[in-house]
Amino acid sequence: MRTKTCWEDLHREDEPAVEVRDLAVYRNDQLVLEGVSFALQRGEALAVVGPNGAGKTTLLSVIAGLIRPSSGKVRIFGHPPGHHLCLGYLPQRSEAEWNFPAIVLDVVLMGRVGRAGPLRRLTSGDLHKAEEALHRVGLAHLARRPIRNLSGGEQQRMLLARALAQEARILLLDEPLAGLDAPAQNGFLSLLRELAGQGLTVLVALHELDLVAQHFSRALLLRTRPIALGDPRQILTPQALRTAYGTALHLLASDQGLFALGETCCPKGEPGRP
Amino acid sequence: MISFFAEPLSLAFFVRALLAAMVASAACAVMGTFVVLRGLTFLGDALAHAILPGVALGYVLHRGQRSAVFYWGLGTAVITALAIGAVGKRGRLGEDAAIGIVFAGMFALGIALISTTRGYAVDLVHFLFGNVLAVSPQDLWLIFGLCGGVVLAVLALWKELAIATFDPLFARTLRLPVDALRYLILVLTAVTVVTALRVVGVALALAMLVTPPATGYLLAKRLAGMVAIAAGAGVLSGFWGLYLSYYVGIAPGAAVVLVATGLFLLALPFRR
Repeated sequence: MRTKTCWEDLHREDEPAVEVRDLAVYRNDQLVLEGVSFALQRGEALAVVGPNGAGKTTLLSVIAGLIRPSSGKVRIFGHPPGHHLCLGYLPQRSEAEWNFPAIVLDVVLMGRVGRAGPLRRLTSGDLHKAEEALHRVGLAHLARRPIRNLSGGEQQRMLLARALAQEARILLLDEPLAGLDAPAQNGFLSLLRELAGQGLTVLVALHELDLVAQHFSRALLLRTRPIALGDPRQILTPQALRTAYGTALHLLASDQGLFALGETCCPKGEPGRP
Repeated sequence: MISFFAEPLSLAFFVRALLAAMVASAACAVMGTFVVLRGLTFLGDALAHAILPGVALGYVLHRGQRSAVFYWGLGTAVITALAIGAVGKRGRLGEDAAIGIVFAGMFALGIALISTTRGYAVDLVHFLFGNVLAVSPQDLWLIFGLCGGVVLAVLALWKELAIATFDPLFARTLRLPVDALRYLILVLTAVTVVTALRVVGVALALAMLVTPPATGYLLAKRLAGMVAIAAGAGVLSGFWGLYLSYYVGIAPGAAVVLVATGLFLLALPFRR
């Protein structure tokens, strides 16, 4: 019997890593997402930006296979979502129980459990994969630190290492920068770029518009419907941003271009979660 | 010194009580670890109280048959655990209140049932505070079987339980049966609570579920360590509680809980 729930043996490498077409989602009879279409090839990175409640979290949840779309199509390497171990999902950080008694290595090893299957013990091969993943995110020196003693940036890197240990080839990250200081934010996005350079496909929901332009060559501006898709330096125009954010965003024009002075909203991310 | 330990061991009922207290405490500590980490403490208490009417009904129907009471308690515990699981899943509005209403109501029903029997004051005391010294050989085997089953189930599903407790959403993306695991934890907790009822009674069952795991949480930095320390603290509480009860002449259930509390206080300065 095939116990592996990943489709990767059947993956069609000629298909896009992620393909979304005419996606629409209604929740409690309310329209949350409509008309979203895009495709991501291997090694591509896409930033999804938009105001709170724009549907960013919903979009990621649909791709992760946690929410069923009302209509439209989602394909992961040519296959429907769900059952993909090759897809690593990092939800907003508040989802995990950070007082849990575990060291960093324990959490990264959890990424191996999906591959080991039920009732099977983890092997030294799994341990090796976990250590390698920690090394890739620059946390090898913290392997034995209790997770309750990690900084926000270290927590995010650990969860990323867990996805790598899971041998994810697509990374979905929901507001990974929330609560991180500026150097940690930049460091984390550089790491994501590095991973994309190694062939991982990255999809990130972000609030930080300034960093999107710096670190991404593709962005999707979303407010229930897609407002613009493309190079952030070209699509994040004052007009597009005003369409997306209304008055919730303060814009400042200067000689060096446009500055978004930040949203007048919640630091903890979108309130509506699945 | 040797006679200190050996003297009460010449009493068969003391040996049975000692074994029952140690084994039940250890199993409670193992399940309690997950109860504490999932923030289900209140639920554990509710469970213990809600079992009372089942036990009482069995007691009234099978006058004098103690193991029958045990099975009635077990049945009620499992049904209550499933009911609480369903409430918790659905209820967004006032889940705490709902559990509170149900468990206080069930508790009252239990007391009402017991009060229909003669000499109910004595029986009620046994239910509320346990009567571990009256554990029969059959009871003891039953406690061994139930506790062993609980511990085996936890060991078999260790990875899955850890992930579902630490990060339920991640568990869902791995396609782990998160809801089934949640019900399993509730049912296993219910089973251990039934064994705890024999040792410390309804009023103190919560302590067996919470105090040793809390001690483990203070001292350990990994889940396995927390469970091991919790189980150790549970066994020690059962052991020293019974001896304390024997030599000082206090109720065994209370003694067990007092030792568990003492161990927690001892661990406080060494928290990691």
